[in-house]
Amino acid sequence: MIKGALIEAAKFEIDKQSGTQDSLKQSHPKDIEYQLSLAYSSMLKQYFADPRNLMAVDFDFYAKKYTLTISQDSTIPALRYVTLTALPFELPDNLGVRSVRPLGGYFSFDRTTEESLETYRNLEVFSFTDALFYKDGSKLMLVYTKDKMKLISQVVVKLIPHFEDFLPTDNIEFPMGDAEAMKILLQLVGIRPTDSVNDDVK
Amino acid sequence: MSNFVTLENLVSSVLLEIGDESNKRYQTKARQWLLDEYRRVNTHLSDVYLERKVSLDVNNAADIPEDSVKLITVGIYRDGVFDPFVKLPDMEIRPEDMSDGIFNPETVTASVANEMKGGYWKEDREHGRFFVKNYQTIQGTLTDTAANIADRIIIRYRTTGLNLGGDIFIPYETKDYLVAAVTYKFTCKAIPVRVTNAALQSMAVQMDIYKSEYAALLYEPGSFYEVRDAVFGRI
Repeated sequence: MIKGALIEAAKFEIDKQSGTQDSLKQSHPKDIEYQLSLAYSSMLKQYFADPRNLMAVDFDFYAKKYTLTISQDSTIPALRYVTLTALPFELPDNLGVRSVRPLGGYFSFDRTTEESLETYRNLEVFSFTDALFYKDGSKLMLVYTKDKMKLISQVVVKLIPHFEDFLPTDNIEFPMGDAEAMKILLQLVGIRPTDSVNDDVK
Repeated sequence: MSNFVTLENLVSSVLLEIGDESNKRYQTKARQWLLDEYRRVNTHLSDVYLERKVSLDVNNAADIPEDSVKLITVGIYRDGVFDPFVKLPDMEIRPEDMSDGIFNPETVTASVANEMKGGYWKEDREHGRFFVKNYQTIQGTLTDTAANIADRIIIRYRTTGLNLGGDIFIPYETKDYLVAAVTYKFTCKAIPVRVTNAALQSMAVQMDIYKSEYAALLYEPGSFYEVRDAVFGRI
């Protein structure tokens, strides 16, 4: 569902049941967005807790692509990295970062960690790899084994962003569907789902 | 190179087998295990050797290639026929041939060459090189003429298949076995998911089938009847 429309619908649903004209007591879109992001995070966590879902092929529709420019460390020129404009969702093995590939390139960087890299450097595999990446805080460090890779100036990073990093016009897929998200949201703000027929309960 | 596949082709096959083709979480691990398995195949199963032309330096020595397991022989081609030199075993290095604790080929006296009267080579495994001497009788005296054939030396060696300098191409007939073996290794370590014991056993059986198929491809006809059947297609 479109993110802006989802927030509008949630605001309408809440305001309909609060029954007040006082704008101070009405729900704020930012508040709704925050509560929705909590629901979204808990849903993703539940979804990816199952290793079968974590290893499933077709869940990249939760991801967004970012084109980032490679920076070079000022003191150590061999260190190359990109600074992420949106933080990825925290998943095992940094799987929140789906793929890193050069802009217009057809191969993807190999996923590794800083600790594994110490081992890989001593193995043959390091010579047969073109490029590796690992996540270091809000940066993705890029490690090249071949000199031609230094020609890469921009990379396309595909990652699963948090709810806040989606634009209002972005389409968001909830793992359990939009209705579940709305249900969780209304329970979070303390409203049980009703219709206008039994409004006289209040 | 139609009968070769790239290493990346095999990596993709393994990732597809274990269901990691989209995440590529175990890409590096799969690649290294494939290299390990390929080295094992080359060292212990395959009977293929490589032949390279090397150049001797001023000491009449040359480096053993980094991908060699065992240097089989050294020689030259004479009129299109390979003429191997005689290998002197390491025990032939005598104390008088050492200077300052280092083997010095120049001090090898002609007494050895008197018995050989031809080319011979000696392996220096500590330094990863071998020496060549080629004695000829010129005007009644033994002369080392290895420098004359310095750019014609041919070596034959068993290879690991891993030349760290560049891309690697793997013979197509080993593909099934390599993929099955590495997938089996992943499954034994419960990566990415644990499977039942029955599934594990069936994978082991399938891996053995691929291994015996590969060994059958390597088999060369030996006896007269096998050669005859191979030539006239009566298999």
